Amino acid sequence: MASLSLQNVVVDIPIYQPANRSFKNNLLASVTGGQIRPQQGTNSIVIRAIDDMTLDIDHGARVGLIGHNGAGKSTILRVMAGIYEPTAGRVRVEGEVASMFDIGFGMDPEATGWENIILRGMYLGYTKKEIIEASPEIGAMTGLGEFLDMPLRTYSAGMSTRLAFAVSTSIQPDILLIDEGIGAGDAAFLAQAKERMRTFIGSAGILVLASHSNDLIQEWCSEGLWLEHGRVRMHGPVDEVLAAYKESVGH
Amino acid sequence: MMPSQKNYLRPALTDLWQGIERRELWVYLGWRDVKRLYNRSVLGPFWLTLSMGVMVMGLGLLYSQIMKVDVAHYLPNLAIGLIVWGLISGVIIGACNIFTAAGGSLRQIRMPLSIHIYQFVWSQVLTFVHNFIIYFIIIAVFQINPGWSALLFIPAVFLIVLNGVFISLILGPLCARFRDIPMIIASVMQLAFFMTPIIWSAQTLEGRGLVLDANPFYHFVEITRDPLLGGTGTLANWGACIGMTIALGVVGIAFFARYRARVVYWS
Repeated sequence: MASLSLQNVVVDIPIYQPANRSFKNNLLASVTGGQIRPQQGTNSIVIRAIDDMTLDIDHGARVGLIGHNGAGKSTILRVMAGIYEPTAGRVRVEGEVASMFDIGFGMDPEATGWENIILRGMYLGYTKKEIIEASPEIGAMTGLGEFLDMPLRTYSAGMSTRLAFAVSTSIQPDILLIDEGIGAGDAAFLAQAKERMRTFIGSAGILVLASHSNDLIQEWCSEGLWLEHGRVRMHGPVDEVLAAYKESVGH
Repeated sequence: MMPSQKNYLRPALTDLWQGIERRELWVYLGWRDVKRLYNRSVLGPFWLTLSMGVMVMGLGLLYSQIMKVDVAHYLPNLAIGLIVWGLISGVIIGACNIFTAAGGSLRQIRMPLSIHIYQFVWSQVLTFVHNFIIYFIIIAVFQINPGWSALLFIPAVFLIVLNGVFISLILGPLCARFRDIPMIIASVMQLAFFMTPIIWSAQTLEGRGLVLDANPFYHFVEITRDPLLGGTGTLANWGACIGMTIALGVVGIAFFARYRARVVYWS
């Protein structure tokens, strides 16, 4: 049984100006007893991306993250994925997590399609033996045919998306985290991808999807989670939350 | 703002261990790193060997003239010294960029941070292996038979690699946070090269003293080079290296434990 629970989670993201990142300033500040400070405004700025968030997501939940840019959608996904360890609070995750944030991650433009399947597959946690066994099926799923023997740099954007997508959806995680819509791809691929996506999402215990597309959220999610300034503004059935969100944006 | 009672050590050790468990990944990635540099070139990674070979030949012939020493004695010492130094300084200078360079992937997927470290050190070892071909040419040309003591070379390289991992645990996070440190390290390593008996011989330094004994690189070069030329390195050399390994291991793991969780925010 997959489950995800956040308890009073706070995430502060430090922003370092070049002046602050330099060793010299910190050294000067320490030898002078902190009397000479770096220029005003060059102190490190902290952005509170997630502010005291408590949240429980149980097995079977399909959660859509809704909110403006900078509301904390991507940050909270990264906390759930274990990438950002929170500044304060606790995160408990049960089940294997897979994250799909940047579709182009872990691909080498100089390598062929087949090599990229192996490369990306190993990043995702396959052993080499497993991915070599799985690669004919993944290759067929891409529909790229002989292009798989060519280096990735010769691919169009849509083609490399197909490849990345095919590898990413070949795993079966308990918890699936997706950021934003899946980008390019021709119409035939999208129809095919939707089918694949449905089984992929269907087999996951938990789905958390962040998107600006209300249609996408409505189609795939049953719960809505509306974030604002790093806090939960509203959490409930997807239709209600989307309606409330649309209303607040509309007025 | 970090909670002070938090247990740092355990997650760090878990990270280091999970990295070892996923060795298939970093062995594969490390290979790719070395190969990718020479993509579509005819010699591939053997360019490393060739350029090191040219340097050894050029410096060896010239400096043996300048210092008026026997080429047959000078050149093998210089060659192995340069090859070992290439490994040491390559690891230390490159360690500064491990997490800065991995910034993109750090934020895409949850992986043990140590994977990046192992991948980097492994790619440096592969480079070293390519350079090491020169050694076999040298012993063939100069008819050197190091005998069984050459086997001591294996633990010596193992110590260097282990220290490479430990120093990466410190320099990786530190350089991600403070972006001037890589430049400082590069200058220090340049000075260290001339302070270490590679292009000159330790025997020519009168009185020896602190300049040699306090130089950590001297001991590491010595325990690696001496076995390859039929010696063993002194007990003091080995003692110093083992002592430094332990000390660096403790400091490195402690540092990594403390700042591991911050690396993704810094890079």
